[in-house]
Amino acid sequence: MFQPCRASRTRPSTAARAGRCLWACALLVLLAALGCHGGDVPNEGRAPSTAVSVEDDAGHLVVLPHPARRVVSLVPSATDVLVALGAGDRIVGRTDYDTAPEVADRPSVGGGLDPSLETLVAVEPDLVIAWAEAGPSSLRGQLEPLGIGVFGLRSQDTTDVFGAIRSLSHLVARDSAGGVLASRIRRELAAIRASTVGRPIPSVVYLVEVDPPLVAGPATFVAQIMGIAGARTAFPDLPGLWPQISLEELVRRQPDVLVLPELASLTPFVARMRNAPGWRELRAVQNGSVVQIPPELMSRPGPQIVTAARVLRDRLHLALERRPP
Amino acid sequence: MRIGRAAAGLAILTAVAAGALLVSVRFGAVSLGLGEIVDAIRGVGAPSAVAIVRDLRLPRAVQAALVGAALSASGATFQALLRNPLADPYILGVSGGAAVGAVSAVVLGVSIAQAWVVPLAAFVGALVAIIVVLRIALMVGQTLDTRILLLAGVVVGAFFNACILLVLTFADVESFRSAIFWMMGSLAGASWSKVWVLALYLVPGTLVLITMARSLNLFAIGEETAAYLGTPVERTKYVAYGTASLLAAAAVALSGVIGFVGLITPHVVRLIWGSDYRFLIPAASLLGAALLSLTDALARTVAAPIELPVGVVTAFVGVPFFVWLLRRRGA
Repeated sequence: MFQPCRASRTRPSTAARAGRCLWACALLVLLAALGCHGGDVPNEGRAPSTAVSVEDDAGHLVVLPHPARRVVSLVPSATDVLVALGAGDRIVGRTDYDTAPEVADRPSVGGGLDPSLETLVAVEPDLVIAWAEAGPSSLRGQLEPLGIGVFGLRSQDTTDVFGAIRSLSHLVARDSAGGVLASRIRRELAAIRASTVGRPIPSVVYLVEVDPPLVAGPATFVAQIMGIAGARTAFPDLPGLWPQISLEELVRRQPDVLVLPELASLTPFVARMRNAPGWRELRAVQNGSVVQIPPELMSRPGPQIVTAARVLRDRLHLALERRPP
Repeated sequence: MRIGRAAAGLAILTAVAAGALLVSVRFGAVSLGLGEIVDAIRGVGAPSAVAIVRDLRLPRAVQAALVGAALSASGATFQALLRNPLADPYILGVSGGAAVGAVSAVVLGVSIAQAWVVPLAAFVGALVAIIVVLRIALMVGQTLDTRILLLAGVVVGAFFNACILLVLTFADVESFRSAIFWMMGSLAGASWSKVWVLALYLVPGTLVLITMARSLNLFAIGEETAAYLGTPVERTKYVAYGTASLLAAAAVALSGVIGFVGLITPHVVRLIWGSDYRFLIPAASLLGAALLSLTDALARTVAAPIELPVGVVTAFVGVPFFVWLLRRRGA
């Protein structure tokens, strides 16, 4: 029987780890999205009057007889989008990983990939927002016969944020609120990007794990946020999303700043990094240019990407200011 | 083993399995009263309660029982065939092959829209493992040597595990998480259609194994003895290997890798009733059905709405029971 070392971890750390890493795709795509306003609305208005039909990110057409009134969100970033759309009151069920205070009082259905189906059905939703990528889940096959719509949502990178806003606002019949929200996010991201123009562009590495070092590849959501915050990734050439790299390579590349998630498991290491073999060879460590970011900001491609980019920009700026001449 | 004692044993185990099924329908993540459940089964009452009981809880309880039965019959047969008390349904690489199939399907981006792709991929993977292991074992000597079969199974399993790790290294995080969930085994995806598919394997499979029970009895003593006493040794090996592997493959494909049940239930039956395979195979199946439906009920209620991995609960419940049984036998 196969027993991967990672499977033996306890739930919260698996979740936290997975939560930290939900992202993919390139900065170019984001910039393209920033440039082109609106985009086409998928299959909008095909059904008569009140009925809603949207193609989900798994390529499946979701048809509801009326805009969703009772929604269970299994994807925390979708919860955030619904709250931002002012549709938080329609959420009747959430997961254990949701942090939005607006839904804290709703019943939880367990995990997002392994919800308790009984609990889910008991809150009588008319729509469930599920992970599009969740392979083995037969959620749709189980819920659609019960008259519950299942929307598979892709939530990996910054372009998905706009996709989610478009689809979800249509499903809850708040298309105009969706348009307002999307253009507000675009405007704010562009402003953050513009505020860094003219400053030197530091090379940054985001370490999600230190032993062994796991870094954000160029195709991740984190790398996109770095670009908006006026930095560049020290590993633009890596394949895969979260590759494991050798400490030697990290020392060879000498990134200007190290960024780590603000986790209880990593903070003690950051404190003794100056004495840790290998790590002490990094100029960023010697200069104290090690930055920690709340993990929830860097894990969820939702409306708070604006906050994530702003916090990253400010902390990077501070770290570079502090640097001895 | 005398007919009367065997009949009594089977009657007790049937009652235990039926009781376990009832308990696992009675309790779930959503607490419903007995009256509500009876109403829901009849199709009256609150629509959500009807959906919960008829479409979620009942098929899940039945699927748990069928998977438990299939794994136990399979495990018992492998223990006889390989003459190895440590044998379980996965010892010859079936789970590794199934996992390679399932994990590849997940990583290649099968979406939730295609409910049957992952089970099918897992089943194909398991079939490949079964055939490859047999081919390797047959490369040595004129006949099928079960010791070589065991070795072939173990190395093929190790190879498949390496493949899984390789695939997972390049998987994105969502696929990674889904794959790990699959490998931990779960009955959450239970449905009536899966129940029918499983029954299609379990019923004929178990019947074949029961008809072979006399041969397996002799086999457990030794191949030569079995041959002297008129057992068609080679045929027995092939049929037992094929049937037990198919049972394990069907179970793994539909519910992931659920450990421990297939290893332990045959031993429990042996400790209580002795090791006559004519009794042991049906008895282990019934006990496996009872054990898995009961532990799955615990898995989905103890920390509700969080579901614990059913393999964990099975081991937590099964190990103390088994140790107690061993002590009692020793005393």
